Amino acid sequence: MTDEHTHDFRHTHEHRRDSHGDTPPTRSSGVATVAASRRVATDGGQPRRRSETGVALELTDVTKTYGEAATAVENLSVSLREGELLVLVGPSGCGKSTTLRMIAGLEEPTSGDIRIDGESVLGLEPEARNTAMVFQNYALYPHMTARQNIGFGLRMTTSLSDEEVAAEVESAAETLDVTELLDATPDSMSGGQQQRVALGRAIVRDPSVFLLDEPLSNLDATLRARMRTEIQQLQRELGVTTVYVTHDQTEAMTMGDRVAVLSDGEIQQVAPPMNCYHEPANLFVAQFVGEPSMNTLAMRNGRDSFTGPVDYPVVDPLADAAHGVDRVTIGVRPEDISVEPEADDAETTLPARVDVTEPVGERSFVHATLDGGPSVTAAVEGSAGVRERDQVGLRLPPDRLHLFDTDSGEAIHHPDRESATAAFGPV
Amino acid sequence: MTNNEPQSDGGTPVETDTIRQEQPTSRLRRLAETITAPATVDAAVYVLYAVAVVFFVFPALWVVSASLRPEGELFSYPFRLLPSEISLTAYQQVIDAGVATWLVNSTLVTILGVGGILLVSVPAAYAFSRFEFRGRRGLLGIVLLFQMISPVIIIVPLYTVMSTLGLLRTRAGLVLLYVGIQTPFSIWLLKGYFDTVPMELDYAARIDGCNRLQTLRYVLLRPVAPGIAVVGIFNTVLTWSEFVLAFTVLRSESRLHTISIGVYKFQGQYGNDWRAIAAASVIGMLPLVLVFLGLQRYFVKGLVEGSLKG
Repeated sequence: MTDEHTHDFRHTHEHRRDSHGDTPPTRSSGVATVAASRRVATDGGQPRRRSETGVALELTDVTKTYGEAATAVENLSVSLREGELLVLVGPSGCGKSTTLRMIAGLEEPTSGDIRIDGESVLGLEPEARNTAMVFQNYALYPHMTARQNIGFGLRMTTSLSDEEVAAEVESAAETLDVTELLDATPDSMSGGQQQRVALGRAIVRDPSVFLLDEPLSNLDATLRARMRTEIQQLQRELGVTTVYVTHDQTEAMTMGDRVAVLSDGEIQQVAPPMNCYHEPANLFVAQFVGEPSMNTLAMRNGRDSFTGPVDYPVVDPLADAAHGVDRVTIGVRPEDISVEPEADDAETTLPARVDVTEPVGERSFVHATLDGGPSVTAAVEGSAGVRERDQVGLRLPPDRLHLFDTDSGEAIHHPDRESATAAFGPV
Repeated sequence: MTNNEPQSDGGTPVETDTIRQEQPTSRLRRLAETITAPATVDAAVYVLYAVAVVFFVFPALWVVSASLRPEGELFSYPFRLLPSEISLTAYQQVIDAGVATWLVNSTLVTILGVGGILLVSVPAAYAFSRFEFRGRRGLLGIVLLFQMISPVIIIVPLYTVMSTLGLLRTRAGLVLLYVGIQTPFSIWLLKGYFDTVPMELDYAARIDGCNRLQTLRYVLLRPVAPGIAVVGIFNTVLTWSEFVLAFTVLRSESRLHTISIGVYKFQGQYGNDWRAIAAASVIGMLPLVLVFLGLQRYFVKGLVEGSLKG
């Protein structure tokens, strides 16, 4: 898949691998790194060159099965550059949380390899993998104050003195702006506050890899939007390689350097978010990414026209792409459909009847049923200008159509990105 | 979501308790109020409470009263609840018979027994709740099965086993029996509490560097503390007052006898010394009453939580 991608924000902090190089990874050097990284973070940071390979986390053919019947993850391969944020997105039960737990060492893959900083971590205890994880329900230790929660990992795994732990905790708390909460217990905090403390518990350990498991799902919408930005900023300031699991495509589209779309334990596409949107690898990605999702029409490839519940002419640029494929699925984004007040004679305009219109502010969604059966959704600027039960024409511009091989689901044609209507973003 | 519920043993337990307890009452009350006037309902509820209290407390009060009567007044006619004069001779008699030794023995057996039960059942419940291993369900079933067997039914084979092992007439033998018999129930009860603690706490602890035992010790023990309190108190009551097994195992080894055997000693072949039995019973009851008063907050809380979530 396409994953050429430039990082324009790389304020990678003090080189994290220093402590793993010539000197043994004593904790004191770790502390220095943490402190240094925070200083860099607050100073704005100097752009730094990545390590030679630049690969911080690599999963190779990772498979996880439970018993004989259930396969949670199948042959999953993906690698993350240092400082990259990869969003694992997919419907529930697609194996994304299992993947995260395998990286953390909470579960072992049935087969395949997981490498962190170039070294296989299979069989290592979670603490030895130097990952940190944030959970959907925060999983703060209920009987401990925020201070104890954040410091617990340091106390368990290092020989830091009480003063040193306290200093680390204070520093992490400052980064996350939870200093006033340090002596409170989780049950007296709001969800957002608990989330910050949970993030503090993760960053205080100066992890190589940051694992976030649906961290915003339990927050209300306003807070979620704010925390989304904050987590992004935090991740960029600290420059920690991060795997972010979510089922929310807004988070997937806005947060990730790249998005890995998962379905049934298999990766469908790994690409920068806009690529997933504009050039979905297959029907699943096409329909999963984008809101409202892409309209699809399953057709048969006739000589001059695609036939099915409705007919659509085989014109350029579709003719070449569809050549030799018998069963094709036409995909069209709602914002690429224009709603004409009445059906004209053009073959690319399909007669339809409006079912419902949904004004959502600066644009409106028009849900309509094509003459011939299938329902489609169009997104138009401003108010819809049509009403329920109106007969309209839906224009599907040939240069805006995606084509998929119906049998394999694979994409066979994408429209030029340049022809996209500038007025509409994907989300 | 649920992660901050099981642990609130420190923060504001009173508040949550009242909320939880009021719910069914108020529903009942509302139902009743649709039929009758609120005042009538109030009165009826209190009468009901009074009847319940008398029903449960009367035997205990009678025992206290009996222990304080002068000799010969016990079966006086007409019946009277309060003694005509207070006499402590029965208590003197019980003290002379060695009640102090019995109390010490009971205390030792109870502490060792309950300690042993917790030592086995807490890690076992943790394992049953958290680990996936072959035969887990089967083992749980077997544990449940053992719970259903009354020790009295197997007392003859138990006696033979104890005899073979040379554990008759020993305190260790009795404690072992208590641990063996009470552990299944305790495991099941505690497993319910462990199940309410979200798995993510274990994950977080492991990432923070805890091994399994440290996870249990530092992270999970506190959230399940109400359950441990329930199991502890419940087994304390059972062990303290247990008679059949103690009598079977300890036999004539009188220096090891517990308070329940002590009470039994005042039963004679030709007549029972009811005043002494009553006095010994009162002395035997007191430590439990005190323990319960001290811990009832946890007991009630633990039971309520267990019933709601277990």
